Amino acid sequence: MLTDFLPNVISHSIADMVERVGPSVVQVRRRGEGGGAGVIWTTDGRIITNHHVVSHGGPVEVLLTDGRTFEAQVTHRNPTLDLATLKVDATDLPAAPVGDSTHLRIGELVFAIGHPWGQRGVVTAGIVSGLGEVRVPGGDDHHAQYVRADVRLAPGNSGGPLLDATGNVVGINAMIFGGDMAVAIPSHVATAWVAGQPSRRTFLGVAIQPLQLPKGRRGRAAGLRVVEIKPGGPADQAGLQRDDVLLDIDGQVLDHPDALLDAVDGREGDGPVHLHVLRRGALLSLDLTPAVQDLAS
Amino acid sequence: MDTQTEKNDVLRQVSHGLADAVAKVSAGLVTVAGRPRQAATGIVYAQDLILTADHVLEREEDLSIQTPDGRTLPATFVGRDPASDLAVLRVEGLNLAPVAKAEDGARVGQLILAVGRPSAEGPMASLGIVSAVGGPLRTEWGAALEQYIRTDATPYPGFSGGPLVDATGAVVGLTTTGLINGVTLGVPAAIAWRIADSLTQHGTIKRGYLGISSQPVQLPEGQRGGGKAEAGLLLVRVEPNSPAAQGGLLLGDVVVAFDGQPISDTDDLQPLLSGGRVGQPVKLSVLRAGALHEITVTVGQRD
Repeated sequence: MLTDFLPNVISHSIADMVERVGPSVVQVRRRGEGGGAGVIWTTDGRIITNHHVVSHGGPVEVLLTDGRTFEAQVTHRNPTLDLATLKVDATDLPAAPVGDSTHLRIGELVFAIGHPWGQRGVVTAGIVSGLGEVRVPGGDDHHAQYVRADVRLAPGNSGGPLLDATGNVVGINAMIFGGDMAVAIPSHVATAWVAGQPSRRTFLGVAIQPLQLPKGRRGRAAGLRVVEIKPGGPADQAGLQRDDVLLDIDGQVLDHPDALLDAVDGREGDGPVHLHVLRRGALLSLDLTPAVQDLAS
Repeated sequence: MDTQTEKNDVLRQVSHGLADAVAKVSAGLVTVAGRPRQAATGIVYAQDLILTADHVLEREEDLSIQTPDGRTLPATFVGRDPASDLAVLRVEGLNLAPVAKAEDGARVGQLILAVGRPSAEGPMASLGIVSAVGGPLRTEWGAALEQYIRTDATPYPGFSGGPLVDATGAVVGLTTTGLINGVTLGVPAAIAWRIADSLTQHGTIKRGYLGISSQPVQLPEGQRGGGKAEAGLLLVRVEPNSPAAQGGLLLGDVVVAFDGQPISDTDDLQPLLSGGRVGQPVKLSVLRAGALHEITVTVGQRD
């Protein structure tokens, strides 16, 4: 008899929906440390998360609800939208159903799944509070569309899904726009961004981390420390080593993780780039030939 | 999707229902520009009249509002009542249908949507429940509000002056942070509308007057006239020709309720007398010679 009781029906609908979609939500971590959340976008290993979750550079690890752990490559990043895509080597992943966020209405029920403060698989409920555009801090004149919700979010929710009442992903939660309010990037923005991604990209085979330099080091304030080198990759072949500090490529200063890929983007086939490197206090010059990687597979 | 699936999908229906409620009330919400920086929300409460919070108006001239369809219109100041943090503006040519007011008062546990139109970007909303219905409330203004609503719905910046609505989109209360500094409370719709009517007619709120002096007394069991009140106000003076005297109150009567609301302290009475009660009949529950009586008194105006 109680199964017909309306509040019970509503409660179980939410629980069913969370059980259904939960496996599509991953935890994105940098080696050992907590990070954020991510949404499995395709069964063949494409995962979407926030750019700021992986902007530190360095290796990224993806944890599934079934206990599997994958090393992930950051294949695309867009700081303006605060989105990044990851690729893991798998073919059987539970992809999340993605809804059309252009039809979202204020007042609609929404649910967030993430890992606030590292606690996995936490669900919070609320409604769509507002829809609009927000000026992106630091951006030139960039406006990003957003969904605001009164769901409770905390660090660790970033990159996770905002779900509608049917369990479809209508947003990617982000917290970078400030305030106590949850802000999500609408799923239609994410869908369009993923669809427009090139299927090939420049590949260096190096994981890096931003680094502040002591004063007087060749007049530079920052560089990128090499934390990992893919054996046989372009960086390895160029003679880069772990703990080298990259300073510039062809005169372009490398003071931010994105600067490295920006500097070589579209340069494949143009021959080697010229790289200045600090190694144990000495300045080295290296030639590095970027490779092209196929992302479709 | 077939209709049966849709019918069975309760969660989706709830979701649509809440969105419908927000859409319904939002059609009668305007953005009120009456202070620097953060604009506030106003409610279309009658033909060409906007009800908003008093503290969001830092000036009485050069006021304007923005409608849901994007029109910016000048607004003229009609009246304000700082004690209840309410104000009324008139907007010629507003031409928007007034919002629906809930028939019944708020109940603790009831679903509540806080809705506002803080900017031209569009309405905003948050969901919660009625956490408490309390009162009377004494603020820094002294006598204030006979009843207030507390909710756990998030009050976003610019929500002051906006409504708390029920699941059908009917207005249950008006959101304000101006009664107690920094605390978000709701002024019950019945009170807000009554005060708004008075502000529209007189531009101000008249303070009510009964013409009694009283002191609180405990009522021992067996001396409650069959009622539940454990305390009341013992009348120690009834001024001749006062509203109380004309209504038939007598020295020695114990007043236990004012318009259905229990009173047990002299502080309880003043909030009940403000807020547009002047000239209106109220029912007092009175204990006289061991029996409960209902006595109607028409509230007078304090000079």
